[in-house]
Amino acid sequence: MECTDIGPTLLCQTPVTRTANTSGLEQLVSNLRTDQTPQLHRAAAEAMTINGTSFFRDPILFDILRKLILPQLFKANHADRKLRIWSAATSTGQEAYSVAMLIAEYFPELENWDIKILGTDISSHVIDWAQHGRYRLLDVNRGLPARMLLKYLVRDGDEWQVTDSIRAMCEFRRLDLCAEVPGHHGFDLVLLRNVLLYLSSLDRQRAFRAAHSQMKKHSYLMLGAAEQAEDSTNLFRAKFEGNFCYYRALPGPEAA
Amino acid sequence: MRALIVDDSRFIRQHLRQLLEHIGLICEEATDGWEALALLRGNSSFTFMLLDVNMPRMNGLECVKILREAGLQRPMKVLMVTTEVDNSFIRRALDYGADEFLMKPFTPENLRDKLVMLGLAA
Repeated sequence: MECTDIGPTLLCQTPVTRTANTSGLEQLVSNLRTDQTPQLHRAAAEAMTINGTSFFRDPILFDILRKLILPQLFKANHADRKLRIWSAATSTGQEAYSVAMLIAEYFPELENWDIKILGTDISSHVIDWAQHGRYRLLDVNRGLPARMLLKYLVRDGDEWQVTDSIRAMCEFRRLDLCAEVPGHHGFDLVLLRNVLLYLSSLDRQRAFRAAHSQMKKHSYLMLGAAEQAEDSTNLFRAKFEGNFCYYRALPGPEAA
Repeated sequence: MRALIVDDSRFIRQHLRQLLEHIGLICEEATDGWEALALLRGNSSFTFMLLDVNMPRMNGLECVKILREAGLQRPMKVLMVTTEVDNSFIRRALDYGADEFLMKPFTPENLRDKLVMLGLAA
């Protein structure tokens, strides 16, 4: 990801300038350009990420997943009984776990399918959190229906932990949005939400290309409500369900 | 849409009223389960009840149980609000007929999320 588009306010308010032993933004950006060791780049990435997320964020999207997209995918993949989902920029993991809960709750007949939901984020801090699947009261109060809480999370002291069966459906890794996911190709569904609006046009296009190269043809892409793939129409075709927009991957390696 | 706020704390009732009125609900108040049932047996129809658990005379659990058994205000959605966060307690509240559950402390966004879940806000 390009470091030239860093928001100055965000960076100046964080200790990353101290980590880099710099006094100002210009010197920090210069250091990021020349210093290829991962430590400073990771510190800058941790400082820049916002990590806002919640369970079942944007209920309309989950409604469309349940009623339209997942049934189509289960029909299409019936022969190999396998499903691969990527929750990109997953933050603390609620999106990936919400999809797992949705599948467990509404499609119990798929219990023996090979289903894997991969959550990735550039911040190792949030990936650690996601892997543990432990949430505080303020997290479980946000968007999680009480019946789902009872069924898929277990109380442990002041926290709740996602059950083993739901955690077994999910895997989390630290990864740059614009990089390839090692060992993972052929995603049937990619959730790339509420992150593109923070990227430059160039990085947005790189993220779309990276996602497309790892998706099956005609697979599904879901963006945040305020995001569009208007600069990547060669890769994705927009589809509408009421006012809700989602995308399907066009065939071809780089359908330029 | 009319909402009934049931809580023995005047401060909490006022706070909840502000939040609900801000999103367009018309609110009435009751100070415990007993008073709430009296109102619900009257002529007014309510879309939504925000029900505290720990209250004098009649608590929220008893109130929702009697309400559902008597078939009063049948389509009305009941959101229970409490500091009780034990899973067995939440299960009992849902079994008695509560539609959703919100744990204290909560933010206005948490309340709005629950209203969206109940189909009462977009």
